[in-house]
Amino acid sequence: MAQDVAPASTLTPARRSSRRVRKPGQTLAPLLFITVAVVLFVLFFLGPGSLGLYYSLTDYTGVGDPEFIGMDNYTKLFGDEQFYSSLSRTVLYTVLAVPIHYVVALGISLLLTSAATRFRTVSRVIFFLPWLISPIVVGVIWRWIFGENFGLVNYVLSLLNLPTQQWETNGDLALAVVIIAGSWGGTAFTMLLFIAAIRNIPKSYMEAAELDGASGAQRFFSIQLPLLRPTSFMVILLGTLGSMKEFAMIQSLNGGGPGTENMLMVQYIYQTGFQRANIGYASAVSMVLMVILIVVALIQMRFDRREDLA
Amino acid sequence: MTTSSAGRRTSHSRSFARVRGVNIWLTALLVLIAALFAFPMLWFLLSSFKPGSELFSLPLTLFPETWTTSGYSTA
Repeated sequence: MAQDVAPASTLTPARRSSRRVRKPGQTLAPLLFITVAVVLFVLFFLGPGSLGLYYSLTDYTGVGDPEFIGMDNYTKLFGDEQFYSSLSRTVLYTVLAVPIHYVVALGISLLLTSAATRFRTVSRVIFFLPWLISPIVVGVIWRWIFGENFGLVNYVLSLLNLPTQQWETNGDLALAVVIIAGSWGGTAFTMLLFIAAIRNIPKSYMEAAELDGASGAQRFFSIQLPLLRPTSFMVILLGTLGSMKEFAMIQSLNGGGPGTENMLMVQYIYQTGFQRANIGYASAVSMVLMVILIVVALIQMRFDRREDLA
Repeated sequence: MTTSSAGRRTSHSRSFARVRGVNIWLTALLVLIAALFAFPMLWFLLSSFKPGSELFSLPLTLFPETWTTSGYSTA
């Protein structure tokens, strides 16, 4: 064969290419396998996504033919006060909810992995149960507990001779209830991530630090927390994206109330799209939300990479 | 040999006992948080056995005064 006399440097690539030529199944089979993913991706992600992008450039109302109106939806959007108020409320909710969520889940995970606590198994079951409940039901449960007239919390407050709070008609308190309900419903998943990550930290690190006389706080801040960084990053990223897309729980909890004060982005999209049948406009809001989420994710990824190098 | 290792262990025993043994405060904290997490579900579960009128009558009680499964039979 001619390849046999070729110099050594070209021998390997030649052989590799000849192997590829010899087995056509090796190019056909991967293509075949990837086709499934590509078809599903195009059908269920790219298709609806580009349809949404197209709708955002039209005045589509759900019936009739969409008429192309260019960037009108977007120019209207950037002058829309309700859009800015829902955006700022979403940001506020995310900024408050994500750290609370993080601290609660990490604290619970530490307690559940600590050898110094008892009832860990039964506690883990209890902490996991809210994850099995639909977000709609989570909203209903907390709406019930924080009801203004027959809610449990106000009843307990009145028993203690404390002033009852307007959990439904005060916008800030209503947001606090949303944050409580969200943390209650979402802790389970974050807790699982943290527990798995804490278990993966080699015991020898902790034991060595212990023998060197490190206190519990030192061991946590110098060993566990730095080693949990990848998990923390993922938890914060998922938590941020999840909070900004929060919908079902709020919808059943207080419907963005009082009024539209706590209406978050997705609810605004839902209201304009499905209640006012303004699908073109709602699609434009969705596109803006998607761009915001992409930017948030990119910033956080860059942040994570920089932290890794440090 | 055994006495020396035993002696070394007792010298460290205080710090080890705190780590290896049960910390009552941490356990209490865990139980408290677990109770806080369990309570909404418990409240909801017990409320499901209350007749409708009892849901909207003060004083609120944890356990239904009259147990009913009418909610379940309707559902």
